[in-house]
Formats: sequence, C-alpha cells, structure tokens
Amino acid sequence: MKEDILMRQLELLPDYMGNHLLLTLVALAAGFLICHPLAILVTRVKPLQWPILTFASVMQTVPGIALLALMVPLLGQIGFLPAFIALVLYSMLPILRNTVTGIMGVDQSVIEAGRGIGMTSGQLLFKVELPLAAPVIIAGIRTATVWVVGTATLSTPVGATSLGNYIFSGLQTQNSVAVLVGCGAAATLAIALDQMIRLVELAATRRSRKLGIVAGIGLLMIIGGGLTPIVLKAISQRSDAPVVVGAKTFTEQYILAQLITTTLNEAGLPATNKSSLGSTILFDALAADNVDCYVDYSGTIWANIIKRNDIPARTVLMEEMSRWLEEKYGIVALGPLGFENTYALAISRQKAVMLGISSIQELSAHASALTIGSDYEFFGRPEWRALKEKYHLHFAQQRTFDPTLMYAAIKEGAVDVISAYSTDGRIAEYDLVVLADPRQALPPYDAVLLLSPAAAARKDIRGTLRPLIGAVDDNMMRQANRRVDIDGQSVEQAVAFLRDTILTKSKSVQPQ
Amino acid sequence: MISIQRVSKSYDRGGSFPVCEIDLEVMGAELLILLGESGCGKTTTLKMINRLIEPSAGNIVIDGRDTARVNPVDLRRQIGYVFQGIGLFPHMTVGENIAIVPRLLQWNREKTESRVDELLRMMGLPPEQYRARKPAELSGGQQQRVGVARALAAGPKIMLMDEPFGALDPITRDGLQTEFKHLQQSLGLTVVMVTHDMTEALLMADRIVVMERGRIVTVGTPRELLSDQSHPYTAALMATPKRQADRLEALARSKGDA
Repeated sequence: MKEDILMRQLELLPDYMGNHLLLTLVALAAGFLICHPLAILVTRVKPLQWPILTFASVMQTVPGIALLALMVPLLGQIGFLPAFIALVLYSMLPILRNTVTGIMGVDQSVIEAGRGIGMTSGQLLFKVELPLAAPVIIAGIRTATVWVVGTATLSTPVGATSLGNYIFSGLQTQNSVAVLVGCGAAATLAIALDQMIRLVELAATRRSRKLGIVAGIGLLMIIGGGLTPIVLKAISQRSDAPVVVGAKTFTEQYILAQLITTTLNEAGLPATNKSSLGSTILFDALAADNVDCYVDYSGTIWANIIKRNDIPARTVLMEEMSRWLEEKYGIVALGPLGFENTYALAISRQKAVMLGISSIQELSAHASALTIGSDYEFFGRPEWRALKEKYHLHFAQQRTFDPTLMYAAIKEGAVDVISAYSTDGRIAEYDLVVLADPRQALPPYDAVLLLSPAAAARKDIRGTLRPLIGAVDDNMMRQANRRVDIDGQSVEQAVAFLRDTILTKSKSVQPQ
Repeated sequence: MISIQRVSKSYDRGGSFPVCEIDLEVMGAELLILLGESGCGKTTTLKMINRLIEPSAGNIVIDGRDTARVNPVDLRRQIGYVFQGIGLFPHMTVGENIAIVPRLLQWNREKTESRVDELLRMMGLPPEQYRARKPAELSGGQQQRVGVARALAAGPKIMLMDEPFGALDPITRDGLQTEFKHLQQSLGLTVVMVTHDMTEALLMADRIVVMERGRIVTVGTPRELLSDQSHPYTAALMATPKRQADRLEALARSKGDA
C-alpha cells in the first residue's frame, strides 16, 4: 500500500521536476544576465548603488508567495511568466550584492597597478577585477540558486507546474508521502546544482581541466536529465493544445478537476490539470482563457467576484450570476453539478446535546461562552458579517486555522464551533452537527461548472461535460472527499468511485 | 626628456592647490627624486606625468609631445610605473604578471616569453624557479623585484616610482636601491622617484627636487643640497641625515677607543 502511494507520486516526478528545473534555470539565467551588468554599472556609477541595491533588498523582503501572487494581476495571466518574473526579482539580491561586494573588495593597489601599467577600463574589469571577484560572485550565484530552487515550489498557486505541486496537493489531501517527495526532490535539486557550481568554481581557481570536465558533465546530466521528459512531452503534444482544467487548493477541487480531466480524456479530448491555484487567480485565469474550465461555487462568485451583499433565493442567485458572468466576461456557467459546498457552522454532537441546540438561532444565546474556529478566509467574508448581524452572534474568542487543523481543533475541544464545509467528509468522521440557518444568512454555494469564453465556444467540450451537470449529489461528494481526506485514498481512486456511482445512477434511471 | 610647465592641480575648482605652478625639466637618463613630507604634492606631481591624475592647469611634454594629446592608456604603456603597494596581480603567476604589458601591446608569444626570462634573470630571480610561482609565495623584496621587472617589460625609457622601497626591511631596501641604481645607469633609464626618505634621496638621486606645500623649494644635486644653506626648509631637511651620520660616526669611534 505504502509502496503504491510512493510509486504513484514518483510517476509524477519527471513532469514536476522538469518544469521546476526549467523555471529555475531560466529565472537564474535571466537574473544573472540582468544583475551582473547592473552590478558592474553600479560599481562605476556610485550614485546608482543605493537605489538599485535597495530595490533588490525590498524584493527580497517581500515573502516569496506574495511576490508570486502579485505578479498575476500585474501581468494579467497565470502560469510560467508570473512565476518566472517573480523568481528573477527574487534572485536579484544575492547576485547583485555579491558582484558589487566582490568588485569593490578588490585590493586598491592592484587596481592602481592595472591603471598604472596602461590597462583600459574594460581590460581592468575583465583581466583583474572580475577574476579576483569571482569567488564572491560565484558564492552569490550559489545562494541565488538555492533560494530560487526553494522559492520555485511556491509557484504552484500561480499556475506554474513545479515540485510545489507535490507539496500543495499533499498538504491538502493529507498525503505526507507526496509532501516528502516534493521537499526531498527540491532539496536534492538545490544541493546538486549548488555542488556543481562549486565544482565549476574550483575548476576555474585551480585551472584544472579535469575538474572542469567533471563539473560540466555533472551539470549537463542534471539539466539534460531533468528537461528531457518535458521536452519530449512538448514535442508529442505540439499538435493540439490540451484543455486546461483548473482547481483551487482543497481536496474537493482536486477530485473535481480530475473528474473533468478524466471525462474529457476518455472522450478523446486531451486535457491537463492545473491544480492548487488561488481562488481569485483561478477566476481571472478563466476569464483570460488561460484555464478552460473549473468548478466554482455560486456563493463565492456572488460575494467575491460580483461583490453583492444581498442573499436572494437559490434559483434567482444562480440565474443572475450566470447572466452576469456571460455579459461581463463571456464565461459560461454550464450548470450546477448537483451538490452544495457551503460554509456551515458545525458543533460537536456532545456539545449540541448538552446545550440542547440545533440551529444558529439557538446557538446565539450561548455564543458568548464559546470559541469559534475558522479557516483563513471566513472571518473576512460577507457571510460572517451577515451571520453576526442576523443572529447577533458574539463569541468569546475567534481563532484562525489551516482547514485541516481546524477539524483537529474541534475534535480536541480547543474550539467549540467551526465554520465547516458542508461536503466535508470530516463532519461525519468527527461526529459534528451542522446547525440550521433559519434566517438564511449564508448564501447558497452550489458547485457550478464554469467554462472560459474559448471553451464555451467549443461544442465538443460542452457536449462531453454536460452529463456531469446534476450528476454529483451532496452525499457522493462527501464520500469522495472522505475517501481522500480520511481513508488515505488517492484522488484518482476517489474519481473512479464518483464515475462508477454516476454510471450506476444513470443506468438505474434509464429503464424508467 | 620630460618638461613640466606651470602645472597645477586643484580638487575644489581653484579653492586650494595641492600642486601649484610647478616648472621642472627632467633630463634624459637621470634619476630625479621628488622629496618632501606627506602632503607636499610630490605624489600628485608624479601621477600627473602618466595622467593617473589629470592636471588642472599647465602642460607636461614628453619628448616634444604634449601628454594631454596622447591617449592616457597608450601613454602609460610607454612609461614604467612602480609603487609602494607593488600591486602584483594575485591570480596570475610571476611570469604572467611580467608579461602583462607585452600582452596588452600584442607582442608574439616567443618574444614575450624570452623577455620575461631576460627580466627575471636581470632581477636575480632564476626563471625556471620563479616564473610559475604566485606572488603570494614570494618575499616582499622578491615581489618588488617582480614589480620592477613588470614595469620594465615593454622596454620603457621612462620609469615613475612612488616610494618603491618604502615597505621593505632596511637590508632588502639597501640591496634593491643599489641594484636599481646600477640598472638605471646601465639601461640609461630616465627615472622620476618620490620618497620622503632623505638618505635614500641623497644616495640614489642625480638631482633632488625639494617640495613643500605644493611648490618647489629647491632643485640640486645631493652634494649641492647638503651644502646649501640659503633655503631654511632645505637646510632643516638636510640637517637630519647629517646629524644621524655624525652620531653614527661618533658611536663607531667611541667603540674603537674602548
């Protein structure tokens, strides 16, 4: 079983590693080509030193994941480019600072000697300053290499495939094997590249041809070996671009994206997943045709994208949302999948019985003695404001968790109430009670299959995906989620379960 | 050979003059020493000759050509330059250091190599033994020999030297001074050397230029300066080595008596 899990992860390695390596190398090469001349300029034109080094420092202080996420709205697209630019910015400081420090640190008497014997400024730079600064410059490149390899794992949420795909999906689906494979592969790559560059440096300082050949072969093996699979893939796929299916960063989304991808592939339409994207990043990507389809939730679109605060009836909301998406972005809502994944306040059965409550209305009387736990988003969302207003909720304490830890917290009694997701398998697993919402403070969150303008224009895509509309009910989704989150099954296994169930249902319906 | 004509240098647009209206003729094949305390303008004057520092006013003419009209890089390749910091390139071997100017001048390989060996032998450093060493493996005196060899590599007629022996221990310094004087005479080099060491100046120079606060106070042969009492500053300067010599002689005599 464990070996199976590991083998399944390792099958993904060539693709993830290849893309990771490509992204890293291109970013480092660009970083070097930009920063190296810039650093030399800075040593010649001293007044530029402060602004340029400060800019690089500021880029460095921005957390990697924020820098990556910022690139998406700035560039208006997801994928390789925003990740590439963010990583170039991230690599600047060590390359710039070490080149400047290295050149400035060259012994002044050597510079004077060079000028005194009649070297031109260029000869001084290439024959004296750069060779003498080389160890410091190379140390900077090595630092940048390790940083960029590490930071590149964060480019998964902006849509660039990397070893981070292991880590993000592994963390969400509680697959520690995937996380370890991702971290291990990234660390190995960083160390291997670092050591090869060190070898190149040693070969240069010792003027050893043998070492140089060893280092050259080593680098070629890493680069060639890493890039070959994705080059082959690119060549074989050149004919028709695959349909890109997006997914946000949680289990249900991985399962649905895989369900759609499998459905398309079996219908003879090549499709590929782009998983672990940020929520609004994904919507923007759909509008820009970078992603062809994904599943979103009506309430999320309503509140976050359309920015509406009112909560109309379910069918009205769905209709208005569909019209708005079509008019504003040309996005087509193909239809609801048949289940709702709404925010819901959940409480442990024990506590519900003890307090004698079954609705949020009844909860409000006890709230001032209770602690509520939630994910990162919930307390900032309009639903939370609506809940507080309509039920006059005031909790003793509010705590924020990673979704996985939020469930652990209520299980251990660290919090009394959580903002659960209604399709989450863990509601049943931990024996939680979902509290009723009689005043309809929480908007409906019907799962909706959205198509980009380009995908909506393709009859084959629409036709292939239409059978999914209304095919997945609450119970099916909850079971599929549970299989991954709790039973430790793979996403593919959960998808197989969903497809089987859909098939059986349609067969039992047909004879009538 | 070198004609310095009313040359001044100011770093603050004429507010002050570290070098002020210097007039000086350096003869061919003579060893001329610029002597003075720190800050008297001697090093600035020296560096204006190969345009490491650009004069603010005046002209410097070498062999009838105004240096202001010569490309400074070409100018420096025709003039040897040796200074206290030595400044050997630490990433190059001794041989490569000496060969640097011939390489810049694009001499062919054979000519360059035989020139390097010739210079190493001239400096008393057997080529087989020293050519492939790195500067860090040499003593201070050996490093400065290589520094001199590098300056001589392209066969310049003029050498500029900025306290070339200042960082060496007294015995090495004495040996190099004597050797260099012979070398200068046998090659017929024109040398302008800066020092603040009165004894060095008196023992090596054909003529000495005494400078004070950016101006020339006296010019003369060592013998003339020692007997010249007309300039109080020069007299005071010369009093020091004379007094030291007298005391050393007295010391030697008293020992002999005992």
